[in-house]
Amino acid sequence: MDNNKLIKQFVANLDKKGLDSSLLENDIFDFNQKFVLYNAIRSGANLEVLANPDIDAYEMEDILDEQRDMMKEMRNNHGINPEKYNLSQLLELNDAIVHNLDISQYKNHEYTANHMYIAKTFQIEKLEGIDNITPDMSISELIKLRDDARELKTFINLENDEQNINEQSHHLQNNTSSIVMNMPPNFDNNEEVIKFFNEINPYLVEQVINKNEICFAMKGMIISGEHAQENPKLLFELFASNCGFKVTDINSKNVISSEKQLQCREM
Amino acid sequence: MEKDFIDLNLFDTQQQKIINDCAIHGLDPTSFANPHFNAFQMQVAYHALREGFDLSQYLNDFTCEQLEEIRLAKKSGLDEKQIAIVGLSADEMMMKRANLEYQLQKQ
Repeated sequence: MDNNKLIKQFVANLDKKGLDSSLLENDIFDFNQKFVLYNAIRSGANLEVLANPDIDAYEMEDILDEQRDMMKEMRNNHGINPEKYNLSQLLELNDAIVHNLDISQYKNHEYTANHMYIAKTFQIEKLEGIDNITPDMSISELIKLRDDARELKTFINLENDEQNINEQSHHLQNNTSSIVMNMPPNFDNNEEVIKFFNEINPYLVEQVINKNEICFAMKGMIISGEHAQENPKLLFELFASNCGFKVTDINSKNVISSEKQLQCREM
Repeated sequence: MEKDFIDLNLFDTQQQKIINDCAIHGLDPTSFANPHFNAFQMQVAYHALREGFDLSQYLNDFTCEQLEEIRLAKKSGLDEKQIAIVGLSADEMMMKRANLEYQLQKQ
């Protein structure tokens, strides 16, 4: 049988087991590499490490063997007797082991491969409530539990965002009503400008550099583009204003003490 | 085919590559260099040879996946004959190997 036909047979074997065979259909890998990948998939190995066409097939074989040794050692350390498990369960456990996940929670053979798979997604997505997974739960119950955990995570993230915003406000309120910059930023020097903004308010500033264009992003609001290129001073004023400051010249006699002031020499 | 002469013309490109790689690394490919064996069987046999194992006695009866299980059994220090059973699928051999490895570790 020619090699192409054998690869097709490997693909069919994987498909039959519901395993992803797409790597074997990708011609960036040569025949030898595809065979190693095939063996890796059927063992539950970590493909992120292996699936690299720049790694020679023989080197891939050695990496795969290292992963298999790790699977074996960890299974033994956890007292997993393969006799009590089916192949799908072992593959899920192997996959968890090579991804450095803690299998203690679902290593019991009473958990089906599906339970193990969903429990792993709790760990990968850092969801709360993996403890609530029990072997007697149905698949739909497991999916519902995961959906709830995802919703909870989204809610917590939103709460954290709100807390961050409160911290930002607190930071601004605690600022003196007038800040005098020791050194005005040199607007032709991106690094200096970023450093300057970071000193004003580290919560708000994040830098996004795209080619030669510099953008200052503030919680999703990006001031950038032509204005930034053409008029860095305008950018500075916009950003300062969004940080809650009013920009005035240090020599200006018209300082309103109740407002937060950003006084700049040479502005 | 004579033992000490391998006619590369009898092999496809993939098989030739493995034979050449084996020879380049100072190992003797004659134990698996047979056009009757496919390139993947030869690949496993070459891998085993690099680890000091000779799988030639199994090449006629087992697929490349099964040969891989036999190689892994030998590598784990098991008696590979316990899994090199004609009629067992590669997956069955994998499970049997995992069981034997577990038992060996417990000893």
